Amino acid sequence: MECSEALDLLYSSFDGQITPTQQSLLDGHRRTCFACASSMIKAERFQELIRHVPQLTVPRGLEQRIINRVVHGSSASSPSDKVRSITTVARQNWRQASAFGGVLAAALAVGVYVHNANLPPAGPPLVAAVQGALETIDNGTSKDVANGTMDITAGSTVANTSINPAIVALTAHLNMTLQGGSQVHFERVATDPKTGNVNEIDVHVDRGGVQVHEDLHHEASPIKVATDQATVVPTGTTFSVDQRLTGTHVTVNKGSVAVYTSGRVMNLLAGQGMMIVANGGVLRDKPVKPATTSAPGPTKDIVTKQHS
Amino acid sequence: MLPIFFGVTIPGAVRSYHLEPVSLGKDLALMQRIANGDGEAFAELVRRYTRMLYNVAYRYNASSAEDLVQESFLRAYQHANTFSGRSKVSSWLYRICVNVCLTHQGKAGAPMTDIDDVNEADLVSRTEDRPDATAVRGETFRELEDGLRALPSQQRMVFILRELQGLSYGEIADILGMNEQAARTNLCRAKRRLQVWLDPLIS
Repeated sequence: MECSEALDLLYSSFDGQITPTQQSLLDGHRRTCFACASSMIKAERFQELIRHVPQLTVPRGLEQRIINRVVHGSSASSPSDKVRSITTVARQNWRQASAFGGVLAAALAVGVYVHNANLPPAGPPLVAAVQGALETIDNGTSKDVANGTMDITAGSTVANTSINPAIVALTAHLNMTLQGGSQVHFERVATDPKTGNVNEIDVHVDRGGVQVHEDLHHEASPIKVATDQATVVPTGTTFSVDQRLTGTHVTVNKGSVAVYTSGRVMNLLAGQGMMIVANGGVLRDKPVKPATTSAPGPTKDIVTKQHS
Repeated sequence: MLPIFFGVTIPGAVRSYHLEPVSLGKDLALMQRIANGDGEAFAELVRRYTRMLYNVAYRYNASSAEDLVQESFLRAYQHANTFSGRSKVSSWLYRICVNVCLTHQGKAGAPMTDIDDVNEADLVSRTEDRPDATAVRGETFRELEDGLRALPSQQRMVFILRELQGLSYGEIADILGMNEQAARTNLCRAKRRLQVWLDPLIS
């Protein structure tokens, strides 16, 4: 029995939905596979944890607000009119919230996304080579890729559900290593419709750590790596972005990066690091030891290149 | 004591907080009154099911939960005359709420604090001190919510409906328009990811 199959069986056993034969296979695997035994103990702890997730109480006044809006809508006369008027209010509220969010985001990202005002066309999917095993999710559909190629478009999510790192070669000059357990979301992928060259890649690190290796090339670096706290733009470098429980950790091995957070820009040089916590606070210039060996992947020699 | 679910005892302690034993006859009558513009009937529906929908909406998108619940009830009111009585009102409302959540793509940003307003000493102590047991539990639930938000939408919704709301695979399949096996697969994938996400806290 494969370890992944055993874990799935264990999850099914939590529902009481495995047969006695499957249970005995699972027990046998557990006795003989030490790696799995540890993983299964964690799975049981996880299951125990989610059993204790508390049900939320309703915010005070929410029920009355719903009733007031739907039933006692202001000037509407018929039930359908009332519904229309309330829908409009709700949508206006959402629009206002979105507009405020947009203004806030614009204010925070001064200088970062200015060029997005004239976004290049999305173009065809980016075909990336994968070394290792990854899972891609597009429109809610999952697909496993192992040592092959994957199509990446805006909206693609790529997860490394194993414990081993996996490498995604985004271009001939740019690759990204996803550490075990990490997940990234491609928020924007723009390729040239004619040449297929990659113009822009915006990646959000949902969890875990990624390391980006950028080789020397003559165009501006197309990639931006974002977390909930910061956006990291390379200026010809090798760097790591870790989305941890405590916040975002950025370390630079070679070259330099610009870190955009809370409306300001900070440059990090090789050997420097930074932690940005969940509330936007920053520990600057946290000294780190630069890596002594090159990260794995197709790019071997990384040359610093400053953007003009 | 194992929970009772549709009259069948399901091992595995799946919870069922919300599935009140409302007969279909009463459900149908309530919905017919709402369809006829009976405000008191609608108020009863809201009082009975707000908590159920709020729990789904909050776990799916905490920052927009109230809006999502309001929109769900709005649609329920608007389409009350389409309720046929072939399903329970709770299932019908779940379907509406799930559709509202899945079609709401808004992504509200977290409030930000200016860098200079944060005391670095506080940050160091916050990240390096070992939290007590209560804080660990609270942090774990918060991390679970963060992990949920990082899941693909269908996996997230299957996890919410199955593990946090206690629905059967059959109901989930019906609500999400997928077969039961797809619901199971989505749940397994969601659990694997969440377990990895929470690994530092459950190791």
